[in-house]
Amino acid sequence: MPPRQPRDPEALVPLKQSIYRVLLALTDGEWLHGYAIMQAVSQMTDGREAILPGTLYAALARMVDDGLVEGREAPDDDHSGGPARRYYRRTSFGRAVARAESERLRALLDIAVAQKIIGNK
Amino acid sequence: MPPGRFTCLLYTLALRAFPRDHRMAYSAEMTDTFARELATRRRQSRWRAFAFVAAAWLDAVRAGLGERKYQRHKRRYLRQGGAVRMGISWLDVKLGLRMLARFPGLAIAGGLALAITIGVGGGWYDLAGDFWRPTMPFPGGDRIVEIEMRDSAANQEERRILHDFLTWRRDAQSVGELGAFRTQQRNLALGNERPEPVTVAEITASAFRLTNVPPLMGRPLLESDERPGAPPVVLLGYSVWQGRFAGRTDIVGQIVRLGATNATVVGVMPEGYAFPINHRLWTPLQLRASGYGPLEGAGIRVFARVAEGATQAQANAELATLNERLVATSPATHQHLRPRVLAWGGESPGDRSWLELAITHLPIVLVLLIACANVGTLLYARTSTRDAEIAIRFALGAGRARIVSQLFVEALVLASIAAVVGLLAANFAVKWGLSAYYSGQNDAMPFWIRPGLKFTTVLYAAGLTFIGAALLSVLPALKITGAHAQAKLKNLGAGGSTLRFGWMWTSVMIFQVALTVVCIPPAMGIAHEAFRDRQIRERFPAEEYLAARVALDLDPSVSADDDSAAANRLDRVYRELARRVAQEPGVTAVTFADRLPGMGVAVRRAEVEAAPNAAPVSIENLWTAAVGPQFFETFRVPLVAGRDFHDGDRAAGSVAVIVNEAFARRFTGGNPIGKRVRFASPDPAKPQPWLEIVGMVRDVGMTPTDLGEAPYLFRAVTPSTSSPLVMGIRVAGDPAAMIPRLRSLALELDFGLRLDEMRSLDDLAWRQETPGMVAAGAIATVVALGLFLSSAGIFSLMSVSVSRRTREIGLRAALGATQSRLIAGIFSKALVLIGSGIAAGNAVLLLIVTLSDEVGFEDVWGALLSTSAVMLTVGLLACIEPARRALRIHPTDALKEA
Repeated sequence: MPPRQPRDPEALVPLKQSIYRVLLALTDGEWLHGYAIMQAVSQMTDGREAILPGTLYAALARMVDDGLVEGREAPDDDHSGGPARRYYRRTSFGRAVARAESERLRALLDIAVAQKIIGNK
Repeated sequence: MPPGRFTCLLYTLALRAFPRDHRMAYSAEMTDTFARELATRRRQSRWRAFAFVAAAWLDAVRAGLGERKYQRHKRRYLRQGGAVRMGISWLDVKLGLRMLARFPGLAIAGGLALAITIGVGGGWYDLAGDFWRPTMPFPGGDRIVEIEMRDSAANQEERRILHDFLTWRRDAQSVGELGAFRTQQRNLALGNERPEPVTVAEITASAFRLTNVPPLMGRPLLESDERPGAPPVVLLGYSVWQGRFAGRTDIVGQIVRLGATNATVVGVMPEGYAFPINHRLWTPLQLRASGYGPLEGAGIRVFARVAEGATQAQANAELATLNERLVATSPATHQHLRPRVLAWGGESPGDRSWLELAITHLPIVLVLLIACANVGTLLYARTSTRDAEIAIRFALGAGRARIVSQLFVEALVLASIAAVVGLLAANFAVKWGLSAYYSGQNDAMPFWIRPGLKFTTVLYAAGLTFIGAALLSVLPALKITGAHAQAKLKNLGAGGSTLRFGWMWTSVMIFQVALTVVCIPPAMGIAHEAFRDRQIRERFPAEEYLAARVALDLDPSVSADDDSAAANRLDRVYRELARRVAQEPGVTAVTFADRLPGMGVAVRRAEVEAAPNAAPVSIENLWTAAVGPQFFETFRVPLVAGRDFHDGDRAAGSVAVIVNEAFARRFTGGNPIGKRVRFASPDPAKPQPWLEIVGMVRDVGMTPTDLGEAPYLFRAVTPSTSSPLVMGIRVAGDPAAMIPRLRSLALELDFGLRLDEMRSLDDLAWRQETPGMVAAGAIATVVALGLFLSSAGIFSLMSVSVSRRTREIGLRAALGATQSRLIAGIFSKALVLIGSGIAAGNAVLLLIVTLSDEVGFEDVWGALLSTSAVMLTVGLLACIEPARRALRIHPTDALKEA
C-alpha cells in the first residue's frame, strides 16, 4: 500500500510516545539501524526509558507509511554480521511533526509551571 | 543449540502476532535486534536477560496485535475513499439530482410510475386500516367490538336480535359492557324554531361507560332513563349544541321537540364524540321489561368490550356456544343464525391474522414489484452510459460497497421525490374518495375516520420508498460491480458498452409487455362503459325532477306493536303533502316510489309461468320497484299493453304487477298480460304467492345504463308500505329552487314529517357517475403509463444492443450489407421480445375468458387483435431512433475502434 503523506504535521499530533521517542532519537541526516535507535533512545533518557523491538518496529512501520522516516538497505560498509539491516533517517516532514508535538508538550509544560506543579527550569 | 537461539525461536513465535506483510518486512530485523540486546543484557546479568526476554516477548505480542488492528482500520479507511462512515452523503444526493436532470425522460416516466405506486400503496394502507381495523379514539378502544348475527341461509345480517342481546348480556363472560343501539332520523327544534332533521342514536347507557368519555356539560344517559315510562331525555352532540342552539350555556334542562316528543336535555358531549358511528344526539333505548321472543322487536346493533384477559377469538367461541343453546330451544328461528364478533367499525373477524396482513400488504408489495421491475429496466440501461465512470472509480480504490451505496442514493433521490408527489396525490384522493363515498351513501363519515393520510401512513410510505430504491438499485449495482469490473476497464477503449441485458432483464421486459397487453382491454372496457353510461344518463331528463325521502316521526306513546295507526297517519299525511305540492307553481307531476330512476334497483330471484300449467322458468336477477300512483305518467313511461295500477292494486294481498318490455321479450315471448310470476322463497316448502301481470310499460331505465336489457317488475304500494318512501316531483324550472318551499310545506303539515336527502335527480346522477369517470380516467392513465414504460424499456434494450454491436454493424456495412438487412438484424431482437410479451399477454387474456362466465370468446377476439396491434405499433416506434443511430454508423469509424 503506498504511503499516505498528509501535508499538515498537525494532523498527526498527538503522537504515540514510541513514535515521538524515535523521532527525537534520529538526528537530521543521520542513518541509524533499528538496534542503534533502541540504544539512542536509552542513551538520551539516561537509561530511564527503553523501547523494545516489538514497539520499535511497529512504530518504524507506521512512520515509514506516514513519511516521518525513510528507510534504505544497509550500506556497503555495514559489516555487522547477521541478517541485512535496514537503516532509517528522519525526513523533513518527520522533523516538522516532531516540532509540532514538542510545541504541544511545551504548551502543556507551561501550564504545569504556571500551576507550580513543577518549577521553572 | 547455541545459547540464545532457543530464546530467539521463542521470540519468533511472538512475532506471529504481527500481520503477515509486517513480518515479511521486519521480522528478520526484529529478531536480530532482539538477539543483540539479549546478548548485551546477558553480559550484565542472567536475571536482566531473563527480564528482557519476558518483556520483549510480551511487547511483541502486544505491538503485533496493535499493528493488526491498525492495518484493519487503514484498509477500511482506504476502501471507503476516505469516508469514515458509509452512508448517505450530500454529494451522492447532488449527483442523484444531477442524473435526474440529465435523463429527464427517465425521471418523468420512472418518477410517475413510482409516485403512483407509493401513492396507491400509502392510500391503500391508510384505507385498509380505516376499514379493516380502525383505531377508536378512546382508551381501550381496540377492545370495543360489534356482535353481529349472520343468517347463513339468506347470507345477510339479521338485526332483530333483542332476544339474543338480552341473553348475551346475562350470560356472556368474555365480553362486558354490552349495549345496543338503533339509528333514527328525527326532527329537532327548540321552542318554535324551524325543525331540522338529525341522526339520533337510541342507545343503552352502557355506551358511555364503554367509551369512558365524560360529557362536556350535564350527565350522560343512565340505566334509569332506559326504563319504560321514564321521562324522555336527550343528550346533545357538540355540533348540534353549537349549530342549533348557539352554544347556550343554559341548554341543560331545556325542553326540546324531538320528533313527536318533548325531551329534556340532560347533557352535551364534547367535540368529536359521535359514538356509535356518526350520531349527534342520543336518547335512551327503552326495552320491554317482559323481554322479547326470538326475532321479535326492532332491529338493533350490539356493541361490547372484550373482557380483560380474553381475546376476540375466545369471545367468538363463547357466543357460538351460547347460540347453540338458542338453536336447540328455537330451531325455527335460529337454525341458520350465527353470531360473530368483529372489531368495531371494521371487518376484522378476530385477532390479527395472516389474512389481515396479506390483505393489507400483499397488493402493495405486488404493485411495488411491478413498478420497480419497470423502472429498474430503465435505470439499468442508464448505467450503460456510466461504465467508464464506475470502472475508473474502482481503479482509484473505491470499494464495491461504496459504488452500490451511491447508486442506491441516486435511486433513493428519484423514489423520494416520487413519494412526496404520490403522497400529496394520495392525500387528496383519499379525502375526496371518502367524501364522495359517504356522500353517495347519503351518510355522514363515521367518527373514527379522519380524512387525510395518517402519520403512520407517511412512515409506511417512507419504508416503501426505501424498499423501492433498494429494489431499483441494489441488484443492478451488484451486477455492474461484480467480478468482471476489471474487464470493463479494458473494454473502455473498445467503443462498446459492456452492459448486457441478460435473461433476467429480458424476462422482466417481456413480463412488462405482457402485463400491459392484459391491462389494455379491461381499461378500455371500463372507460368505454363510463362514457357510455354518461351519454345514456344525459338522454334522461334528470334535471326536471326533484327527489325527497319522506319519513314520519312516530309518537313513542304509541306502542311499537301498533303499526296500523302509524301507517294510517303516514298515508294521510303524505297524501295531503302530495296534494299541496301538486298545487305549487311549476310542479307538473307528483308521485312516490321506493326508488326513482337513477337510484338503483332491488334485485330478487323469481320464477315466471310463461303459459298456463307450464313449468316455471327461473329468473336469477329480476329488477323490482314499488311505485305509487301516476309513477309512469310522471316519468313519461308509456303503457304499451294492459292497464296501469289503480287504488285496488295497493291493498294488502293484491297480486297485480306491471312488467317492462325487456321482461316480456326474455320470458313471455311477447304479450305478458295474464302471465304469472312469483318471487323465490327461502323455504321451498313455503312458496311465495303468484302475482299476475296486468300491464306492460316501455323500458324505463330505472338504472339508465341497463340499455333496455334489464327485466323490471313493478308493484303498487301505499306510502306506508313503501320502504323507503321517496317522493318524485317533476318541476318546470330548477328543481333545487323547490327545496325550501317543500320543507316549509312539510313543517306546516306535521312537525314530525321529515324530508331528507332532497336533491335533483341530475345532482344524484352526477354524484353517481363522477366516481366511475374518475376511476376510468385513473385506470386509463395507469395503462398509458404502462405503455410508455414498455416502449421506454424496448427503446433502452435497442439502444444498448446497438451500442454493443457498433463494430459488428460497421463491419457488416463495410462488407456490403444493405440498409434493409441491417434494420432487419436490429429489429429482430425487438420483435422477438415484443412478440413474446404479446403472446404471453394474449394467453393470459384467453385464460381469463375461459374461466369467466361474463365474457365470451366472441367478445374477446377484437380486443386481442386491437391490443396486439397497439402494443406492436408502440414497440416498433420505440425502435426507430436506435435503428437510425445504427444506420448512421460509418464503417471506417467502427473499424478504427476495433
